[in-house]
Amino acid sequence: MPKCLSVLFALTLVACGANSPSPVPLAGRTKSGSCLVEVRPTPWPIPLNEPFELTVELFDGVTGERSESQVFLEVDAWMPSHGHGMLRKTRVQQVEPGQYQVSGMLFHMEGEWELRIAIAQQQANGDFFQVVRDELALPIEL
Amino acid sequence: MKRSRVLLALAVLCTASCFGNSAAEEVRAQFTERELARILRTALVAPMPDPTNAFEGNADAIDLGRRLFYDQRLSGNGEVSCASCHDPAQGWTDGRQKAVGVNETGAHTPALTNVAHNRWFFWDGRADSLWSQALQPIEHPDEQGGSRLQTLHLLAEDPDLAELYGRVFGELPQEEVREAYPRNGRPVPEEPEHAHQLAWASLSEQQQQEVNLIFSNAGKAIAAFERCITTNSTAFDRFVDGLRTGDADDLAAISAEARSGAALFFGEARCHLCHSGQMLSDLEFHDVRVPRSGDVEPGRWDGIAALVADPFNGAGVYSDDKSQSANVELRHLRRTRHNAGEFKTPSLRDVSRTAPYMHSGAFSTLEEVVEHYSTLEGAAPFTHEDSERVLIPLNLDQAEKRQLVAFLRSLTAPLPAPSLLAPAAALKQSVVANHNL
Ligand code: HEC
Ligand code: HEC
Repeated sequence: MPKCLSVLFALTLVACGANSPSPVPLAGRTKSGSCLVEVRPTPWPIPLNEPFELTVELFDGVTGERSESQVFLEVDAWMPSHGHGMLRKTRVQQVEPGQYQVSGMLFHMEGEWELRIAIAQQQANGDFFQVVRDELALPIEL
Repeated sequence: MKRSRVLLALAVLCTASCFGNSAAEEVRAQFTERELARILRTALVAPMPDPTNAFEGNADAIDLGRRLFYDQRLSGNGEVSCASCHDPAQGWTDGRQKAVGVNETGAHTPALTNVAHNRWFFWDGRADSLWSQALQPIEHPDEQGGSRLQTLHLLAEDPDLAELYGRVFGELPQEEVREAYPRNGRPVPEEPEHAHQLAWASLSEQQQQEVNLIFSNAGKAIAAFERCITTNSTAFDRFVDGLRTGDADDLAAISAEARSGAALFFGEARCHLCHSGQMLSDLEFHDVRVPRSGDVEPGRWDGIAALVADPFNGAGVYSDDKSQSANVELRHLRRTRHNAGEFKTPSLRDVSRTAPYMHSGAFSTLEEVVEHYSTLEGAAPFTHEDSERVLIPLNLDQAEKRQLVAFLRSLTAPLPAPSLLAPAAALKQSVVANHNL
């Protein structure tokens, strides 16, 4: 009866542990300057070709206070020197105003990545609404 | 190509056992720290469990799967089993450029060594589990040309198979119930007049679901067996162990030429960008511009569409874990223009045994593959103007090409254990089948 050799390998499965987020956030200002963005990847350092998550926090670009405005976040990543991006689409969930959890991140190749965060907000303009988009790109070296 | 050799911060990487081991230091000094980290990441551990297959560790399921893998009676003409194309003696492939089953097929047969480590299956990734993959060749008109109804009858009528099936999945339908099922049949929606489709359409929805469930169970048993096709004892694996422990014998497991090849592969030749990790594959899809004579091939673009439409995918009713976490990959799947012309990065484990190479079998030797990456002469044009741009001509000299090939040969696995070979019953069947020719 065949018995899976995998049992033999089980011992090698020593936990690489470190499921903690990055102690220092990656941070940047959006193009318009109106928003400060802090990103903490978990686990840290980001593992190659394995799923990871992001906690994204938004702060007012002027006062530095946690942003309370209703916004929509879109998170993606790109490899400028390879001409391709992340293979997966992410899911963004609001944890509380100004704080978001992003799942489905995966960097399948080594090299320079660019984390792209777009922030969309509905703004009243006289008697109609318009969607205003702001964005930033954060470099991450894997 | 020039290599800059960076000396290592040995203290970081060494375990206590290797202090003062100068042979080990010398070998390590051949690689940069990043190269060493990449090499250490190839150490093979057990594949991740597949939550969509609750039977994968079950000994009876493995036994049933092994019998089915070698059973020619699953095919339309009684002559083709999985092993006809995935021959354990030939690195679990067939040595042909394109596979031949009941008819000639359009693709090269990939090897199955450590196959459970994959994220997606087929060159275009149109299956997301090993068990749902196994269902497709059985019904493919050019591969085994069988059908799910034929599979059901075989399972029920062979006493050994029926007994094993019953122990793992529960009783098969009684004879009175089975009598209502045609001998052959499967959905062929694109050919409404096909005999298999007519037979399938004659079943009620409930009957169809019962047949599908039994068929998916057959796939789960085959997958349980395939999960055992695993080995981590190549010469290169020993060498990697040696890098970790400093053991001189392990470090000597591969030649100096293969070591130089590894330094290129994980360094300046940039092969590791796509061939990374335990399988020396990122498990994803790229366009490496394999020469072709015909039209543009859709590759991953069509693969994603087929996967999403597959009722046996990880999000479907036949999956054993319907929680969202079981189907993370599927949930985050995304289809973009880039996918056109992309094929899965194959594992390079055991690659010396699995010629010819690439999804189309376009190259007959490893030397030809390396030549392709070196010059990109005769390379197919990019499939899409937006295709990723990772490959550059490496302009390797003769020595470097030999080194890369020597490295690839060091990934040769030992021959499969007897427990993975055909059970005696299947051997008997194949003798009978050959006799009938
Ligand atoms: C006629 C030859 C043939 C037969 C018979 C056959 N296969 Fe294959 N197999 C192939 C080819 C060709 C491919 C690649 C097809 C593609 O990607 O379009 C493949 C792909 C696979 C893969 C995917 C491997 C990977 O890395 O993605 C697995 C697993 C597999 N076959 C298992 C099986 C099993 C199990 C059976 C029997 C139920 C079987 N095959 C029957 C030729 C065959
Ligand atoms: C851009 C990603 C990428 C890079 C870089 C890359 N490969 Fe590949 N490799 C692939 C893909 C994808 C395939 C399969 C292509 C196909 O079938 O169309 C492949 C196929 C192969 C095969 C054939 C395996 C088989 O079983 O058919 C070998 C050998 C190989 N690569 C070696 C190398 C070497 C050596 C290098 C570095 C010189 C390298 N690769 C660089 C992605 C890559």
